[in-house]
Amino acid sequence: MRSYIIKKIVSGLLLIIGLVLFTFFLVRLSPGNPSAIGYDPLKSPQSMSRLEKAWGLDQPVHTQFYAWVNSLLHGDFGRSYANHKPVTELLKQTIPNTLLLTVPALVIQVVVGILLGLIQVIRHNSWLDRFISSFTLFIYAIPAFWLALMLIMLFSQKFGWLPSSQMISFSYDSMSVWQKIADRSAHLLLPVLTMSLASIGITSRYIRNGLVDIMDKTYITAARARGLSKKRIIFKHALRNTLVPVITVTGQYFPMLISSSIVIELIFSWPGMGRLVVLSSFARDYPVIIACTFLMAVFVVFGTLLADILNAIVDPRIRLQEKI
Amino acid sequence: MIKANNKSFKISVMLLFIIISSVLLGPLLLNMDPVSQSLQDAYKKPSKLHWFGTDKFGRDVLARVLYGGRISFLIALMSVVLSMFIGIPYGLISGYSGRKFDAVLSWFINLFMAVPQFLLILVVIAVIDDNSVFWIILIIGLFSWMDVARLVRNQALSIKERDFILAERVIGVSQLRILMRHILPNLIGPVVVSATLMLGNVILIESALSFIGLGIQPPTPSWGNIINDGRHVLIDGWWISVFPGAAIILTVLCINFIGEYIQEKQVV
Repeated sequence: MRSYIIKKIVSGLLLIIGLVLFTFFLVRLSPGNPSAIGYDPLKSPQSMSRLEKAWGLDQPVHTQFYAWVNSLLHGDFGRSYANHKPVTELLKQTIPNTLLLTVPALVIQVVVGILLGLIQVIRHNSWLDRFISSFTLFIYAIPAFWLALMLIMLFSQKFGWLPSSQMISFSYDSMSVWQKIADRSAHLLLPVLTMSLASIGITSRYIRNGLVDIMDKTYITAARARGLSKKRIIFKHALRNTLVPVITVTGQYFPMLISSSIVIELIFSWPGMGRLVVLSSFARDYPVIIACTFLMAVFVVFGTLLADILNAIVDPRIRLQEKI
Repeated sequence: MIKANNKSFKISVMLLFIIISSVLLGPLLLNMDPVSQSLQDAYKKPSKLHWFGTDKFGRDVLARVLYGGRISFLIALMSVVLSMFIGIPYGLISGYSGRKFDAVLSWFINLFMAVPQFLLILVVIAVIDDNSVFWIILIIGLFSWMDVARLVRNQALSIKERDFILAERVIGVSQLRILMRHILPNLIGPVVVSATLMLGNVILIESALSFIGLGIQPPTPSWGNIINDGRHVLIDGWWISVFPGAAIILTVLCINFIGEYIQEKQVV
């Protein structure tokens, strides 16, 4: 067990080292000059080269890379080109907001996904099973940004029930504690709903297909031969064995979660990391782009690592297989 | 396994055929221009003259959706082809070479997969600052090959060890011949499924990019940027966003149904 975990952690670390290189050179070696964005045609060419000098862009790429790694090791991501604030400060402001959005979405997606998958297996091959299958496939084909617009159209513009953007209302400061909580939840509802709805199908399909496969296994036939009820078989014997694919798919789902958070934060003007990365991409704000891309990728690596370790705890076969 | 649903497959193929042919032929038959403006016709509701209504410049939304479909299909098809050209050889080399080289190549796959695909594409397109169709295809293709590569690698690894391959080797058949005659044909099925599903995925990615403003630039229509045109008039001009969205959903849904059907056929 320990050797398995150590092995996984080492390979995760190797990936992170690769990511340091990859994100930096991906952004720096792409054509396009950030100083041209802040460039004002009325200013002299000297001011442009002064900007480049201040940002270290006149240095050779490898020198810039060493400087970046050096500051990274000190927990510093440099300063934003666009508003001259330290990148760490921008990240401190945006990461909690993104988590506020993604964590509930992830929880809803996994819980509802498992429930839907279970219903499908209990009512296997019924109209309900087929309906949920088609429904999840349908939801899966909807672009998240379009779904967001449609929900805004219905719930905030047509009926006026929910706010369509920002995290809090303008009058937030003058509200009582309960009003504040209600206000925040109201702002959370639509983005979280969009995000979880768009991906509910992933978990439910895994649960359903995993359970259907397991129901064909001999130990299930044995349980059935002993006269156990279908529900008891599913909950006591089969469900546990779908844990592994669910953990794996949830781990793999992290990149998608981030991708959808980018578009959704943009639509709902949610001041999170996804919106930050898009806005800085438009402004070619290299330090912010590199830091965000790197952190999001590290987040994905941790997600996969966590899934691997959890799977090894849940299913001894996985950790033993590695030894052979 | 579930029985492959024949009916939904047939319907999907038919619908997709209708979508593709109307996207290709529609603009010719309707004789409508997706970019010609006529301001007195702005924000007209769907009617006999303009089936999908008009946008703020009085442009016909149906014509824009059809032309946008051409671009979406072109981008999706070409970037899938490109990613297959990278992914299949990569996977074959990775699966067929020794353990150490395979470990290095797999590490690269993991590296590319760690960065969320949409983020990667978005950042590079924004930094390059060139939104031509060529670059969009190139960048989407360059960052979509990993799934196929991994699939081909795993398949190649498992087929390589099967008895009939070992037997071929024993009688002295060359590696290249084994690769071409036995490994590749066994790969076609799973690769076709993966390519089909990727097609739908790329349509979604491209539309999201154009929606954000990083993909196809107006006035050239694409499904994503037409939706963006209607973004601020969701109530009074609902048709501008609703119809291209419906086009995306219908297309992706058909493609996914077809992909699932082929997949289930193979399992059976």
